[in-house]
Amino acid sequence: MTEVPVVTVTLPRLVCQATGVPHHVEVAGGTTLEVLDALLERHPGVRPHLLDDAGGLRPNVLCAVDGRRTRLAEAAPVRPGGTMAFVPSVAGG
Amino acid sequence: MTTIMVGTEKGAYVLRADGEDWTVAGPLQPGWRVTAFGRAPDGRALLAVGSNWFGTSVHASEDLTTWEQVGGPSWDHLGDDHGRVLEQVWTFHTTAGTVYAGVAHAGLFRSTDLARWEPVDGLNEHATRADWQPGLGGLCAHHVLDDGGERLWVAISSVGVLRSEDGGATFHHADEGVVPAVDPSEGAAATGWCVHAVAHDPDDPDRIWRQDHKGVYRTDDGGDRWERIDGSLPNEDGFGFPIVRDHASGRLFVVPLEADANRVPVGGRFAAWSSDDDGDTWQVAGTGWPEAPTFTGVLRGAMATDQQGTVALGTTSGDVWLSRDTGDSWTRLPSTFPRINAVEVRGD
Repeated sequence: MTEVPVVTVTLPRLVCQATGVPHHVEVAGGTTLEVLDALLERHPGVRPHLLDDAGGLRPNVLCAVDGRRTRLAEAAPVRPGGTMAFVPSVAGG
Repeated sequence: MTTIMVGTEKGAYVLRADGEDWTVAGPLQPGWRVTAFGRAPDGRALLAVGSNWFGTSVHASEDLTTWEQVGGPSWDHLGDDHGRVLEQVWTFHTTAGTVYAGVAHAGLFRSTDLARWEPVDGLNEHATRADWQPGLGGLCAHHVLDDGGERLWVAISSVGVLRSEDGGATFHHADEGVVPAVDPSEGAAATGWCVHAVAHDPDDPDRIWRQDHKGVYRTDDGGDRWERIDGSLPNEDGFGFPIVRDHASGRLFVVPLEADANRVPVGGRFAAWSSDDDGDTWQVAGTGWPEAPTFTGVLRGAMATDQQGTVALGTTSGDVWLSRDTGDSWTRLPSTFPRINAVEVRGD
């Protein structure tokens, strides 16, 4: 029997402040989309802050898996003990 | 005790009077743009936050200190390709066990439990929607009024006032007599009526006042016909954003600005203006305004009254001005905040 990987999801601090969800959350899922689904099922208040009205990743929010940016448009595998971070795009000068 | 909620570009602040002294608590929701305050049907306080990165959400509190995220409006029910974005909650309006939320992109939602929000499709899918165009502040539904029964009025920037006679099932434009935002003679099609704010008399809800892009107006018949009433204001075109009415006194307040293209007080003489005759004539509201030139503004949600003589306004440069005698005298409170989007005066 294959064990479902558990990854550490990092959420933006501003989102954590509004939702009360911790900055780091351990979430099980075999792919990026499974991890996202599990995260939003456990913490539904995060949904409007990460996803847009059509269900896609907000245009100014980036997702990185093990430090590499991913588009989240389609499922990509994650590894046990890996990371999945949602971060705001940088604005300013 | 008087409590003033101040929603800014960076969090909300709670100002409480302690005799002549004021305490400031906050920021609540630090880092978030706070766009609206309101009351839930169960009596809890509401506030809405927004962010250029992280969208918007609604929060409720029993004590103004501890806030809980609750459900909020969403366009999710439209599927994937609707093109609408929930940019901001602009207003809450609570009546008869239901709270309405006016949002941008322009829409109206309602809830009885804060968990589920029903889209009011009579407005959201209105037959004229394809012609709605955003103004500088976005395409936003920013004020809701009701008559305690089946009649609703919703004000949408660059679109106009839409009235429902059947609890929101259907809406019809109610703008006759109002100068549209875009003059058809200037070569552009009339895209709508750029209403900036509305207020009404709850004892006679067909009496409504509106601050528009081009003028201040009054209707005595629920919006069938509007009469322009800004002739004694100091600006040429009646431009401004908020309009509020103190219910106890019937006094109206506006903050006239020079013009669309120059949104500052005329000659730097910053003051609210008031009317004691339902808008027929206007004068500077009382005393206490700055003598030095002051070039600031007041946004549409940033002036409020408790309906019993306390009036507060917040400026785009972060000051809060207060009157506790129905606008006869004004004081600038000592703290300075980020740009102020929303003000609420609470009696608790």
